[in-house]
Amino acid sequence: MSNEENSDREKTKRARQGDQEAFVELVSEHVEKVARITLYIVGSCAIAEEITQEAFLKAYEKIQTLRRGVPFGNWVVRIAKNLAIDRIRRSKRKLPLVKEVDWGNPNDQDIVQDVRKVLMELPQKFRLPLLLTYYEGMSTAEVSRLLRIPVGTVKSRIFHAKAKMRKTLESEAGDD
Amino acid sequence: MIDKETKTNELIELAKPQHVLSDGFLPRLKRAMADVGDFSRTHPVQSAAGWSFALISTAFMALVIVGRTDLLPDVINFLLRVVGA
Repeated sequence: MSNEENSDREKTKRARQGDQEAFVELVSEHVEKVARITLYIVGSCAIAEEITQEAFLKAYEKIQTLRRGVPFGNWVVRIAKNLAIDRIRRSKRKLPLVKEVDWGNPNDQDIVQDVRKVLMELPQKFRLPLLLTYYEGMSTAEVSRLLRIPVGTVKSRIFHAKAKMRKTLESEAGDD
Repeated sequence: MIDKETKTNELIELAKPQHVLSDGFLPRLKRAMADVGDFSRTHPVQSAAGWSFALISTAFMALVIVGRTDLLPDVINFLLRVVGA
């Protein structure tokens, strides 16, 4: 077990015993990753921030239910993922969240904005494995556990996501 | 010449989001956590009721496990004396 994992376990143990400072340290270590993964699902920084806050508050209230041996980071990412998917499901008719591509800096180059739009237009089942692998450096086994799909399916979805993305970008380039 | 696969990978990397959270996020979260942590102080009756229920349930389960449910009235009397009822 790495030093980082050991330290995480120690802080989780202290947080379970009611040490608020330990919980805040865990938040600081995992919050950016949780926010990014939420963003990959909802497509908007503002909504990702709301869901990230909700996820950490839920984790704070339910820390006693975290099973021993389960890393805090994985647990809170799963909570945020479920909240984000639930939010999409509930607001689908009123608010097509995934169309509101807002990934922060509006001054980014046009090509970057175009790629983000294409990524967000991919069906979620293709988009998430691709972004978790590329942006979070997660292995196919880790993505498989988080999304509860077989490793082979993760690989094929990444392949198809890239193929779809390439096709869209090529057709857009052809239109210009 | 760059192949299509490499080009796609480069574009994906280029589009990685840098900052998702606004500057005031952590202080806001800490304030919200403090509100959650104050539950016992702001809801003392509900909090005490919750603890009492958990205590009695645990005692009852322990008696069931050791097969001495006949001791239940004594245990309840004891717990009531402890909480000062």
